[in-house]
Amino acid sequence: MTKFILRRIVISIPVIFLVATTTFFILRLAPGGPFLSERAIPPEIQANLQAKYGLDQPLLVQYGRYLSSLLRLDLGPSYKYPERTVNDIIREGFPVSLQLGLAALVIALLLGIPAGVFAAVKHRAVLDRLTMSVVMLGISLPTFVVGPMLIFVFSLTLYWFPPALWGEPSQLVLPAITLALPYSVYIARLTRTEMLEILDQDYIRTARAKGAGEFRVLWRHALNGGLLPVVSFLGPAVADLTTGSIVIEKIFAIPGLGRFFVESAFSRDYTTVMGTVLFYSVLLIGANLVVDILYRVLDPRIEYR
Amino acid sequence: MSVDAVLSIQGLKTYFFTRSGIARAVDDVSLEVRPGETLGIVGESGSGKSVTFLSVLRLVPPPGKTVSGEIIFEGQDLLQMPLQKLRNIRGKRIGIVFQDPMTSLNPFLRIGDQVAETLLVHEKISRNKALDRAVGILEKVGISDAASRLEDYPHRFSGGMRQRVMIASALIANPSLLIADEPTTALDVTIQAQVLDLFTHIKSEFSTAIVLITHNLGIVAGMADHAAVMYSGRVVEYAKTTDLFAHPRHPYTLALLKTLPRPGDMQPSVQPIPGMPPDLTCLPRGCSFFDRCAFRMDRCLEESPPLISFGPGHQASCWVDIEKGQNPVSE
Ligand SMILES: Nc1ncnc2c1ncn2[C@@H]1O[C@H](COP(=O)(O)OP(=O)(O)OP(=O)(O)O)[C@@H](O)[C@H]1O
Ligand SMILES: [Mg+2]
Repeated sequence: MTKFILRRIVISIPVIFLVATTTFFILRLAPGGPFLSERAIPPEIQANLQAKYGLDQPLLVQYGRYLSSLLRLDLGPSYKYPERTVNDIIREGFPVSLQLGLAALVIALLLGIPAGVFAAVKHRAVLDRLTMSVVMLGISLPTFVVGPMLIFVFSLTLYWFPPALWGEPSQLVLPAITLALPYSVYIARLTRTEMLEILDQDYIRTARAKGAGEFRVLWRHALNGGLLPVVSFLGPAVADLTTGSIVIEKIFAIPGLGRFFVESAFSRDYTTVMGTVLFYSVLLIGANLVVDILYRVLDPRIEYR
Repeated sequence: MSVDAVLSIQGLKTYFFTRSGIARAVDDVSLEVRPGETLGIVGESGSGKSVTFLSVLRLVPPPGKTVSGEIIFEGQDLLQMPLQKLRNIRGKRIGIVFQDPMTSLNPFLRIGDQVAETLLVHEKISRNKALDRAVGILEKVGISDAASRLEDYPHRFSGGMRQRVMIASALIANPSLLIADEPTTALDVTIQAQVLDLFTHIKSEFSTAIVLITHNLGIVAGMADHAAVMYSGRVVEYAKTTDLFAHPRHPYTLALLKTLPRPGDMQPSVQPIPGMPPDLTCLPRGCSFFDRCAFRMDRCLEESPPLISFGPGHQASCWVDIEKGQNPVSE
């Protein structure tokens, strides 16, 4: 297993390198630049700025510098927020997004898996349709509707949770639920489809023939296999959830990482874009590795190679 | 039928309500199994052998449904019983070995836990004690060094070993009835003999009644006290095994016996009977074997023959007395 993990880490190094290179060149090919805003900046100042960040150098030199600073895990200065480095931005935003994302993940799993199992068990009955209708409602309501709705009901009407801001655990609840909903819907559907498949298997019949009750059949015999697609989905889900969402951050005034992804792209803040994209990739690779290990724990047919 | 039967099936009908019509997979089957006896069930593929005994444990998958009949096991009707009560019988009083060993074990659970499960479900017993007993039964079915294989998952086991694991988990709780659906198909000849020996052994030691479903008439001859021949969802002949082999009364049984390779025969494999079994969704008004029958007459087309007694404990559903004047088994 250690060998398996080590091998996966070694394989991911060229992947990260590729991501770094691709983002670097795609950004440079796109028209515009960090200091070409609508506001006319005097050409001398522009030239100064370009020189300060080395943007006047040949592209390959810039690329080389970028790579060498990457090796030192230095993502460079932000062009948009000159007082901060990209490392600072991630260091400040990520813990917030991570907390929120993990809370949302737990909620999504706790809602999605039982709903999916329940719908599968009640297959073809009214309750399956009802469950899946509620679930479909969840998927078709966009976050920017659900978020304000939750705020209206639970903060402004019931006074259960604060409407926005960040700091206390209670402030985590509403944004985490809002963030979790679409994921829980997807997880419910994955679980339902796979559980339906598994409940038809011969080995489920064997379990029943031994006298196992429905509870045992479901949770011991069926769920393990039924969760495999959910586990595969967890990799991208974790990476997405923990890197923040600009919509949620705007609605609930959360100082997370999400907005930097979007804003830096609009302002051609090269280093921030590259930094956040790289950070996301590393997170995704890491999450997928954890998921693959988990998958192997759940599915004994897969052996470490 | 006698009252002392372990299992008595009366007028069982199990149909599959498919899109292309109602398939009468089991159509008015009556059978009984007495304590300590082995009942052999033979018949072509699709004749309803498996579905009959899935119906006994109410494990017929949708769109199949048992529409009528009685299944009296140790004095109680399994079809009327609440599911909760039936669960106390499944695995504990009636053990079943399913036909396909490759798909009947859970790929996600360890072998030991799967064999021990029957005990854990029915008895107040610790996991370790149950696993100890699993080792014992696994060794009895011929898994060598069973203790070291408890932690393995099914994918590490060959088809034959999986079949033995299935047999072990069906036997571990000492059921009074064992239903074995093609229990030896995946086994090589030595292991097959070993498993059959085990059946004989449990039969004499615990007087376990056994239903042995098989294509292999040789196994029926060697193991079964009684035998039932099924054709298109019906029992067409039922007799003491010796009577069945010596004096078959149904043309289908006769045809089956003719397919047996005789000692010294150069023909190595079983010969199929010419013709096709009928479509179960539109069975003819008359006898369903009509198309393939060497003894058919006009009456067979009009009226389906009921089970007719041809002597003590020997019944066959045929209008013709095939022993009279006709050319019997050996020609
Ligand atoms: N899941 C199903 N859906 C629809 N029809 C089915 C299903 N299972 C069985 N049947 C019907 O029931 C009939 C009897 O099937 P069964 O499995 O009892 O045959 P069998 O005698 O056990 O054959 P084999 O020797 O191949 O195991 C089949 O011919 C088929 O028409
Ligand atoms: Mg069968």
